[in-house]
Amino acid sequence: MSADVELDHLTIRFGDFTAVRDAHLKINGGEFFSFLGPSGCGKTTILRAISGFNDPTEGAVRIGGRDMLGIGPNKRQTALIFQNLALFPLMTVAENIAFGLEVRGVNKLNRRDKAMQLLDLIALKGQGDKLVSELSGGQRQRVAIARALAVEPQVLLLDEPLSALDLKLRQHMRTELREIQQRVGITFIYITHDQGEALTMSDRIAVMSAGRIQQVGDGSTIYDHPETAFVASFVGENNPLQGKVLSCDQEFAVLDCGIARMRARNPGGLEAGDEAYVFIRPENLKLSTKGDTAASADTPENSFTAPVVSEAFEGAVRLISIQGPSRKPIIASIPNTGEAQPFTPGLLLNVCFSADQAVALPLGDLADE
Amino acid sequence: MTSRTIMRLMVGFYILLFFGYLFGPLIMMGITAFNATSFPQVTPWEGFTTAWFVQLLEDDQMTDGLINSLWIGLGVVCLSVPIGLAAALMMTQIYERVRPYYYMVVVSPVLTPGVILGISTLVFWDRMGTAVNAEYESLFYNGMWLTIVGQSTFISAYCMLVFLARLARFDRTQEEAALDLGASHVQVFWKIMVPFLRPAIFSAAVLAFLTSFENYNTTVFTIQAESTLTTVLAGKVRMGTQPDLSALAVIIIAITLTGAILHEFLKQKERLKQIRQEKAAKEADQELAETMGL
Ligand SMILES: Nc1ncnc2c1ncn2[C@@H]1O[C@H](COP(=O)(O)OP(=O)(O)OP(=O)(O)O)[C@@H](O)[C@H]1O
Ligand SMILES: [Mg+2]
Repeated sequence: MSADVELDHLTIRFGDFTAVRDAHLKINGGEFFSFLGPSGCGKTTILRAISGFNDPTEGAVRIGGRDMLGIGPNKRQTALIFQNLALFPLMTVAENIAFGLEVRGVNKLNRRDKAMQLLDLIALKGQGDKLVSELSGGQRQRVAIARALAVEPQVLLLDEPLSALDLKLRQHMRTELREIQQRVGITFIYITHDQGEALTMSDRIAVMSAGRIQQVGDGSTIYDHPETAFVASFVGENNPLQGKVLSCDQEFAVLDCGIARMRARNPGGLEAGDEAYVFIRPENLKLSTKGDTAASADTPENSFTAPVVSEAFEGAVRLISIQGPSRKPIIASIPNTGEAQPFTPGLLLNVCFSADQAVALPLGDLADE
Repeated sequence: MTSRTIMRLMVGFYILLFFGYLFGPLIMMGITAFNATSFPQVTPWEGFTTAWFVQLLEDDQMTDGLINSLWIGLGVVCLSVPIGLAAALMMTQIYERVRPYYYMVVVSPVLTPGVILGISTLVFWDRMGTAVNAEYESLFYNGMWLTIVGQSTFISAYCMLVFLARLARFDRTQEEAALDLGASHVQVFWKIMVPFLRPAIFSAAVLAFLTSFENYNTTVFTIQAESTLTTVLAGKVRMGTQPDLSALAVIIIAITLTGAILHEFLKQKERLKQIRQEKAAKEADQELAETMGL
């Protein structure tokens, strides 16, 4: 069984400090939902409010339609996987997994059966009698998941569970987690500051910044149609160009960005006179050297001329830094074909991009690198 | 002779002096316990004897005192360990701002002279007894009980310090994880907290027992008509020492040494176990990496 989780204008304060500000969203039953945001933005606080360790200052948390106010963490149909796992070091693996059943008064035989079954699920068959300290990081990870699943929760909450693992293992665990979720079919609420994790695993993502939920949507929506400057700059690489809106037609706006006039999508309804950012992703910039007529044949709407600052080689792609209007250079990435000549610093480039791939958004905090 | 050898000689001499200072008296006393002279002395050696041990066992005053000391020690353990544990747990629950004041209050008995604790215990229970018109045979005037209570006032503070040190290393998320899995607060206490504190409970009990066993300052006031080993010894020494005291010292030293060696042995075993576990974890890591083909 899986339950939906509803945050109803949830605000959580610690003294004067507001950790979560007016979070309002609904997570569907059986969904893999992620909260994505930089460190300290209030992700853990939201998760602890759902599991019952933090009380809402304002608003409510509803699980399966029921208001959770006054219901303690031990009475909720949720299970939390802690950032540090919090496995019990004095118990064996099987005892850890069966702990939730033990405190519910399930008898020893049934506990053992269930533990065996879960050990199978997490591919740790026959290792039930080991101590937690005898397991590797990835194995501990899976024991924590099994321990949480043993109580058959309707909602599983995961607080950056992969952050302690090394890169290879992390990627392996991503697919494993997603598989487990599909097998057990319960609601997963996943917290991470790693956008790769969020994008690969989730049905939907909520991007957070400084206690506020910035945008909720599936991976491609978040990536291709950001609604705020923060989301545009936090998810994936993006070049912000600040400017003033000159005119708007239905879907597009024209901005004066200093180096040139730019035409970009205008999803937020900017009006003439507004200050705004134009965001353009590095992979969408097309570069050509002056006089190279082949590239400018398809004449995209936006183009400007600027000198190369430097070039970085990244294997599959080449990252070219171009002098922009602000101190921070504009980054363009082009596939490495292995034959093109290098871009020497100072070389004047013709930079262009289509209006469809650029988006104009109201000024707001940018994610710092 | 080079300056290096001089240096070495001096260090050696210092070490000799140091250990001589530490253990000289104990060794001396140990020898006197086996000398046949009727006064504790090493020379002249009048022959090896175990008669002083026999005399010690036959000394009713001494054995009575010893038995009382053991009972009082047990009583103090039973009273101080729970009180100390409760005080330490309290410390983790109250507001951060009042903690220093709370700490000051509960630790103050440790800093109070034992004599004062003894007298005040005596006076307090006497007044209380008078107030409720208690009989003379009642608990209010019972030397054993008063000694247990009097010693516990400061020994429970020692126990609290032991528990606080252990609790400082407690990971609160353990408690939260247990709650999250459906445990009640009582279950969290018995299934998570107590197992975690077990080594500290053991240390606190040993500390409480030993402190009680060797206490004199408080006991001498609260014990009244009864006696403990320390009060009997003090009384005897006042009349001049006999080799049977040396015999007692030998026994105590032997027990202490055995305890220390046993403790070290167990610790070593624990260490080996830990090393084994770490090795197993590393192997598991490797195995995992191999099966995943990394
Ligand atoms: N109990 C508390 N009392 C006071 N402030 C708190 C408390 N818990 C969290 N905070 C503050 O709330 C903010 C958000 O914390 P939270 O743990 O939710 O961040 P997070 O997004 O999970 O970050 P991270 O990725 O580093 O885990 C932080 O600034 C933190 O200092
Ligand atoms: Mg966190």
